[in-house]
Amino acid sequence: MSDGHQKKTFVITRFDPDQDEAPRKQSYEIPVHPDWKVLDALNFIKDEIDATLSHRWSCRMAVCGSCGMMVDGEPRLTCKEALSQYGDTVDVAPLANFPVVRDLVIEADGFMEKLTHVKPWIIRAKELAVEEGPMRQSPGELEEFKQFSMCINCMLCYSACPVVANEPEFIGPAAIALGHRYSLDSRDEGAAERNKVFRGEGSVFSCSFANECSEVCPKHVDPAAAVNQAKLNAVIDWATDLVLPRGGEPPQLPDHFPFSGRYLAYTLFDLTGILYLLLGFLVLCAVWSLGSGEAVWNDMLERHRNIFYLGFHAIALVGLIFVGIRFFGFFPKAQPPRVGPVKPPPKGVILVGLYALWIGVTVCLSIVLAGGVF
Amino acid sequence: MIEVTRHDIVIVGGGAAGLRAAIAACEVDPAASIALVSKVYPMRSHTVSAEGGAAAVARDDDNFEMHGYDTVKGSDFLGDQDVIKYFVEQAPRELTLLEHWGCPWSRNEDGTVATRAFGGMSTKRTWYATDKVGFHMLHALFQHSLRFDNIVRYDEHFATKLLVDGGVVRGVAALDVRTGVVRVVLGRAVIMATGGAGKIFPFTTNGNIKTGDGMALAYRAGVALKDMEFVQYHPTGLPGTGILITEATRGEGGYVINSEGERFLATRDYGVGTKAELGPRDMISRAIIQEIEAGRGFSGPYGEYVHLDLRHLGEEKIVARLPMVREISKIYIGVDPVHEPIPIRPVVHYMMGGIDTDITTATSLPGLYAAGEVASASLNGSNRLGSNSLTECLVFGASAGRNAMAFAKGSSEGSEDALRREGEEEAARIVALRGKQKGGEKLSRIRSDLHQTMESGCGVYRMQETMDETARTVAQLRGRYADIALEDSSTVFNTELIAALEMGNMLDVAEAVANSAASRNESRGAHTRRDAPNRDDQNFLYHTLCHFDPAGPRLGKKDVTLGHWEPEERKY
Repeated sequence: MSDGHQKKTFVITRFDPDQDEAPRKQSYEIPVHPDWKVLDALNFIKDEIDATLSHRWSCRMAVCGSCGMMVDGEPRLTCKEALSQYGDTVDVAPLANFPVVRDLVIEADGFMEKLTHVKPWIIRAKELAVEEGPMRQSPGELEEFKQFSMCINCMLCYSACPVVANEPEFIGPAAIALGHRYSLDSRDEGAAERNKVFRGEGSVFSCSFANECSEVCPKHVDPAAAVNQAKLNAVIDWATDLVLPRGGEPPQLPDHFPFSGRYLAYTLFDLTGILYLLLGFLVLCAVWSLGSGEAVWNDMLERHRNIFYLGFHAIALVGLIFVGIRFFGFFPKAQPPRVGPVKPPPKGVILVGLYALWIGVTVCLSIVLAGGVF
Repeated sequence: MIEVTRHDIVIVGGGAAGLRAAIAACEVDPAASIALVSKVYPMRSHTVSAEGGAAAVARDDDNFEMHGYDTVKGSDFLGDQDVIKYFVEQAPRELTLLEHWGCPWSRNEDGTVATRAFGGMSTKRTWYATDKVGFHMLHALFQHSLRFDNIVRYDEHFATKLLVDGGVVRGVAALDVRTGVVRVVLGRAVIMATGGAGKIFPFTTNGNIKTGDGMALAYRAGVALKDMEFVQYHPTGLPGTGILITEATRGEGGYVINSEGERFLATRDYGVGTKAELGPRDMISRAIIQEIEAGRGFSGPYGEYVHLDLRHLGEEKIVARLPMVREISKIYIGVDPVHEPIPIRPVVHYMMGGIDTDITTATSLPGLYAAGEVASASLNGSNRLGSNSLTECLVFGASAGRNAMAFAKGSSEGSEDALRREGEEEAARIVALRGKQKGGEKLSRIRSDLHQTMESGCGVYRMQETMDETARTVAQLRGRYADIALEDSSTVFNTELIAALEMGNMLDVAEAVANSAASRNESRGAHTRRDAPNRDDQNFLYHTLCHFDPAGPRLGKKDVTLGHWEPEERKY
């Protein structure tokens, strides 16, 4: 393969845990061909000079992701980089930021765990049956995530990342890009689950936006963009969690809903909120009328003297009683077991007290409203 | 010393077929323990290099009958017709599942999955994800498989032997590349899914890992290798490296041009008729060789070649549909196909032959199943149509997963003592080979001699004399292989040891290829003889079986399943 016209010296980092205490450098001067990639030189050394040199490679067309190494200090796919762009001496070392197994071979188990951690698969509330056929996805929807699906897992970005160097637990560029890729996929419903992962251990917020990952990516995936989009999603997720119940997700309704009494009661309980909203609105109207003179007040009273208004009040009263009974039922359970030396009274006493208070307040208000006292 | 682990089934190979089998096994029984043994991390598997697409009926103007007929005709009527029918019927289902699992198929404007034309296919039925289909399918399958806790991966474990007890396969012995420990991985059924063996040839699209390991393991365990003489040359490989330029270039409208600027596939009679560039691979490879032999090729530092011209497609279409072709051409041959034609020549691509299986992926050895390129279920006969193989991995991978699970349910575990002993013997063999200093042969010499003889005897055009010569040379190489000397005695990531074990596998496969080829005195599909240029259904409409024997391979025959399509002259 070699034409012998030109020679280069390769300074290769060697380490065999069976024999070496620490990595060492070994030099090989070899004739090189002008068309060679860096990998061709390594294979020449392996075949012709030193069969003990260990490195990974397979497809030699920049898609299997096996042959990433540090070439002159930069993470590179060795099957992709033309030798001609390097000088007479080329330094080849294992990918930085990974434990070394031997020579140019690094341990990828940590990356594999991080990849699994971000749930890089389609998540759906309900799995589709194959009989339903392919889902529709417009070319525009495909374009949303396509770039991030180009990651070949070569891990050059982990070698380039200054954060990974200091915080090995950082989920890291490639894994975040792949998780984010699924969250952007119109067929996926798992973004919320992944946002929890992105906020969790080794979170996306560790990223200091050095952008080194995107600089070295041989497939132009731009993982830095994915990481920072994921940051924004994680922040929004945190904020919605803070403000809305269930993070704003609709409630999960079981199939037998609304036929089960338990869920019926729960729903009615929630629905009474609408009644209080309307009642509040009416009170506002009444206060405004009262402040606008007697004519307006009387007019208001007149307009409300009809069957709908009375019916509404009747329903509101039933709702209030219903909520009151439910609420009183919970109240004794909500007492702390003791406050200092004071124990709460027995359940029966609390209940009787509550109902007595309720009836008392109602009676007083009725008397006030009927004008019997003042 | 030896470590024994036990699972329900063991899958060897983590490419499309192996991963699909593992997922299918999980679907059968979510509680089952599935071992996935692969000599590389699964996403490094060679499926990753497939480019053009995966075939399945999708359009209204298409049907199973048409896909079946195209396939059987492409196979030069050596495909088993029941297998072909099963395959075309399962194909849309499998590609739909891939869609549900996130594969980013390219889309039509209305959001349906897009399809493109491919060689030998009578309509657009090839699903694609630009021109990185294998990459996207492999990663979608692998990432989907990560959700199943019960798939226990043995990454970078090199399976070296099938463990058989009482006539039934019970597991494999596998070398942990990282530690040098040999593990006995036991299961009540084993699926082989290790892919092809292109590395027995010097000039191939195949990656470094495609050394025919699964074929050799089955062969040595007594299972026949079937139709090994049929080696597919892909018409469009880059001179020098052999890197694949996808058939989708022609599917999208590219031209093949000789040194006189002539579109010879359209203007001369090479049997492809009006299909021209969309003819099947065997015919186009032969046409290119004939053009070069007639002096109408170009000469370059890496031999003679012709041109693949995409310039008329325009930059927009090339960027949208064939981005990888452009990327590869620029990096590996310094040509931008938007502005210049790409130099190409036929290159070894795919083994139609493989482990002899039936329609259920079962082999003659109880408990052993095989799927994907490593197997020969006789879907592809003597010539595979482009884009059938990715689908084949899914259809037969899924079938293997289900059938192996069913077998495992009814099978016993075998004698652990006997299996452990077998594993210890295998470990002893590997330890003896590691850093073996006594011997006079060099691994890289044996490899280059093997390459040379395979190319001269089992190329696109073949002759009795050279095939016999190759068979003899391979037998001699076996002798020389026994005398190799190795330098690396380390237990940790010893790639020289792996290469030596792979060389043993390659010699087994090469033996089967050369001897099967020398026995078929006709031209059919990819097996083309200058001294017997015609197909001979009278005498050779059968599958070749090659059985291992320490004294030299024994050849046998197996009937072709016909019944639906009558063999006819193959003209397009």
